[in-house]
Amino acid sequence: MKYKLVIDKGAEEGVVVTARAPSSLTRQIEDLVRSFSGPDHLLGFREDEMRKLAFGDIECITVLDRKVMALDAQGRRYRIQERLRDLEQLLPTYFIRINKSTLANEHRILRFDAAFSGGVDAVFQCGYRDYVSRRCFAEIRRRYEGK
Amino acid sequence: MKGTVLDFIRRGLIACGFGPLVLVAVYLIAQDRAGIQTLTVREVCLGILSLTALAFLAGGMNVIYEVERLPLMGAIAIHGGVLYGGYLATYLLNGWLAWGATPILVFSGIFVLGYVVVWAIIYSITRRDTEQLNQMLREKQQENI
Repeated sequence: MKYKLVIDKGAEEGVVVTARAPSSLTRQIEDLVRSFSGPDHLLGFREDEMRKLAFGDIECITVLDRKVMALDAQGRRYRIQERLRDLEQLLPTYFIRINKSTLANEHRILRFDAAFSGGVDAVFQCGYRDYVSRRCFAEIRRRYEGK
Repeated sequence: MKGTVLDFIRRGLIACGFGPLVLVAVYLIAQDRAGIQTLTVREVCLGILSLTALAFLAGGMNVIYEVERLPLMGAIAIHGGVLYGGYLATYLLNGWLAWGATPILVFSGIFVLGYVVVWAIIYSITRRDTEQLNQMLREKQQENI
């Protein structure tokens, strides 16, 4: 891969990566750029505790009892103040929507399970599972197939 | 919920126009195959009204597939259950199915058999798609290691 640095004091700063497919390198660049130019974590609240949750440590962000909650690797639930819609713009691209109420960290998805009911569940490394809507299932498939 | 009900009515109203068209086909087949030449006013009115209602129900119930939380089989079960009731009532009202345990059991058996076949097809497709997705997920995760 080529590297090119353009110094232009008048230009708007930005990093553009041209790649044939997403890879660990593009992910690391994305993480680096986001951590440099914007937040790389969310603030999570749990009982009396407030904790910095690095994006990579979050398994998923979901709406439970009308509250936006982030689940960490141990399955602990933290209340998040941002709205899910806003988080979708803020989070790195490895967060994928699996249904209208859940954004999943695809690095933390253990597997997808076909349920007897004909539905599909996403199973996370912490053991939490949530359904994948039919629309999101098709979108995830398209994304993985690179269409 | 309100949006779903309105969507149900909208879809039902679009579909209900097809009810009398289906009835025309039924009457033509009855004439051709069963030699029925005359119908009473009551039979025609009942046929038009019941088929319009059935088409409204069948069209409107498609909204169930838009309910995101509902797994496909759940949606099909509700859809199938409502249609079963609708078809059975229409057939009995119009005298296309004789009253009695045996005809209703035969009708129900055929309906359930169709449902099981649909379930088996969908389940096997879902399993296959899920396995493919798991494979793609594993490849993607390995790329990122």
